[in-house]
Amino acid sequence: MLRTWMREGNHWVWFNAMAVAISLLAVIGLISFIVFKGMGHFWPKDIHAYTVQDGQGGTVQLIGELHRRSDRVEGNIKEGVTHVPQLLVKVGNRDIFGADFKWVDEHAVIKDITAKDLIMVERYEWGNLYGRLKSVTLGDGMTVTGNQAWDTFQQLIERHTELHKQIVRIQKHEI
Amino acid sequence: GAPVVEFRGFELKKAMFSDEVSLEQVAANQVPLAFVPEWVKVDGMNDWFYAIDSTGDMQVFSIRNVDAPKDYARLNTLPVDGKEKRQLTSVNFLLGGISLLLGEESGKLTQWFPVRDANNQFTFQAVRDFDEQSAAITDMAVEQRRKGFVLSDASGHVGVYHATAHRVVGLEQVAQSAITNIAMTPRADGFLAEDQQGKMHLWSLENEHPEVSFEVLWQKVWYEGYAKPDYIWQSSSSASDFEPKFSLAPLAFGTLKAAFYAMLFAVPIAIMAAMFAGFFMAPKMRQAVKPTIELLEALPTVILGFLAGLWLAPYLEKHMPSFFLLVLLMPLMVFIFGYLWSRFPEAIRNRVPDGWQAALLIPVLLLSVLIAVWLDDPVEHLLFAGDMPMWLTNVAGIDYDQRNALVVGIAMGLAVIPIIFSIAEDAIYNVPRHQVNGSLALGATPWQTMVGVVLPTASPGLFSATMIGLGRAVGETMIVLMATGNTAVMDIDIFNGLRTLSANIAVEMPESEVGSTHYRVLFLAALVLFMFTFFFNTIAETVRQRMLKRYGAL
Repeated sequence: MLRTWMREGNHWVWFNAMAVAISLLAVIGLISFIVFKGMGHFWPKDIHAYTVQDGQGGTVQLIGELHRRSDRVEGNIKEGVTHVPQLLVKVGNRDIFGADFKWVDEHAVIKDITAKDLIMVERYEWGNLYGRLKSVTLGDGMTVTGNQAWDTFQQLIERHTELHKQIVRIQKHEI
Repeated sequence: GAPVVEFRGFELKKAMFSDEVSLEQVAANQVPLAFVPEWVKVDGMNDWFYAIDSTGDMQVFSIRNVDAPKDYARLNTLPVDGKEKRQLTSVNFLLGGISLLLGEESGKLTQWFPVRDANNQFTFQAVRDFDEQSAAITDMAVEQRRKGFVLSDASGHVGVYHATAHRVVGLEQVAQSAITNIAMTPRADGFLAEDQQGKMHLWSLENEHPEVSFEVLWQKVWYEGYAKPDYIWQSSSSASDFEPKFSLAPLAFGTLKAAFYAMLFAVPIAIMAAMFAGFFMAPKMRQAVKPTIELLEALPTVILGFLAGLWLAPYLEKHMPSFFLLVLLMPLMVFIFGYLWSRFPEAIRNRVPDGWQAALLIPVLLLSVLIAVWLDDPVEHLLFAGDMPMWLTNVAGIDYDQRNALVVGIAMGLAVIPIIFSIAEDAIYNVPRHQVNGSLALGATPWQTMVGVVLPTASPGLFSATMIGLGRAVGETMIVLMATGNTAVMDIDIFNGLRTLSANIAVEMPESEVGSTHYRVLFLAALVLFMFTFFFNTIAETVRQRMLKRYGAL
């Protein structure tokens, strides 16, 4: 049966079909890949709060976005190579940490939560800020905490954006 | 007594808080010489001390460590060649202080420099010679910015040469008697010669591009510091005494290699896809499939190059076995599926209209991709000690570069597939229906009809499609620029990088000095690229016409 099937040349027809399928998959795959990878930048990513073991037995909390996973390679060819999974966390806060990103071994992460109170703020200096909003201090010394803090914060941001637009307008057009 | 040479080493000491500079002697060594030299020269890096006499005897000391100068080599630069004894009359360094130019009584000039072998031992080799002048070389002047020089001889002639290009730029009778001294202007645009009667001759020289010759462009050249003659492209560096290396051979080789691997990947897939789409496929599916594949043609190749260089190359380096597993698994799984499908009961088979095999195969191929990715780690651990690129470099002896011809083959193949597919599919679709029907009526299976009737009739179109694809592959710039390592090496290895003429022009043209030799050689590279395409297209057209004559009347 197989021999007859092959003698008729049917397997070649299937190989030709395979070529079409490969081309189709390549085209659709490539375009989807580009679209997804590109569009992904327009949506905000989840912010995680990782509790990570530091080397000395305590824990450290890292708040940031998961950028990607990778493997750290340990060992050599003779003794065997092991891949240690790592997470690249975008912790922002360049004024505190010095660098935007941190590599964290996946097995060192004890807890990983995404909570509603974790926020990311885009800033003009020192990169993004990742953390929790504790309180908002207004210009006249008043401090707002709790649920009102977020609303006050948003109002302030709106006002700030408006002022910034005015500044830019003065700088670029009027002067 | 016996001749000696004393080496004294001095250190330049700068005072801590002022601008005062002082010389402090740190070493003094006396070393005996084997003969009384007529010329003593120290090379440009203070590594070698040469003592040369007029019979051609040369003694070389290694003075890299001035505390301990070493008697390194003793040789005769003028081997007796049966005719009269030869005599050296003039000795000078070329720009950079690496090459020694030895001028002889007969007017011949030989260039020597140290050559390092595999054991880090230096030998002093005669690299090239010039035999243009017929009287004894009296003096020589060396250009300050290029590897060129002028020779004056005892008959009043002055010859202008370029060492690396092995080229005689010109030979003129400057004076009526022997020239005793010659000097060159800093810009190499003139020379001043003094003859025996005290007359001075000032000549202006127009010598814009002496570095280029056929030998430099297309043959192996022995460059300073290299162990043997080689094809090298290294057009510029930051030093002013650099020897530019303008061999187009590695670039042309890279162009052909990239095109070869792209074709290797693209032609089977595109032609086989065209065979299916033009002959076996259901018309409704064909209407959807053909524009989809041709969509890839519209994708700017910069994107393909970018993805290939920044995503595919690292991915392939980390998961190499999965690619080869995929190449093996896909045909195998398609074969098994095809056979099993033919054994399925009629009820299921009739649900899928004839000609929709390609759609059926999509889940099969996705499954094979998943299996290949799943098997990647185990196979890598089992066969390649956990790291295939390292295994290839260390165990198999094949140097692995992350951006190599395989990545380029895949990326450029992907760019070229839609072109070949489009034209080939048209060719196959347009085979007259009556021939196909006749073949089928005589009892041939569809595949036998394809091989016996359709392919020969469509062969001019298929060939033409391949050649157009090849023309595209030869001229492709952005993919090779981003996906290869842009290393100008001449290895046919699939895991090595390459550098093509097109990518080279794209990279170097903005950086080269307008009007310089480098600039002009880049234009020459463009001409060579054009000639390649022209050559391929001419052959393609000739073969196509012949095929048309043979199979068109079928």
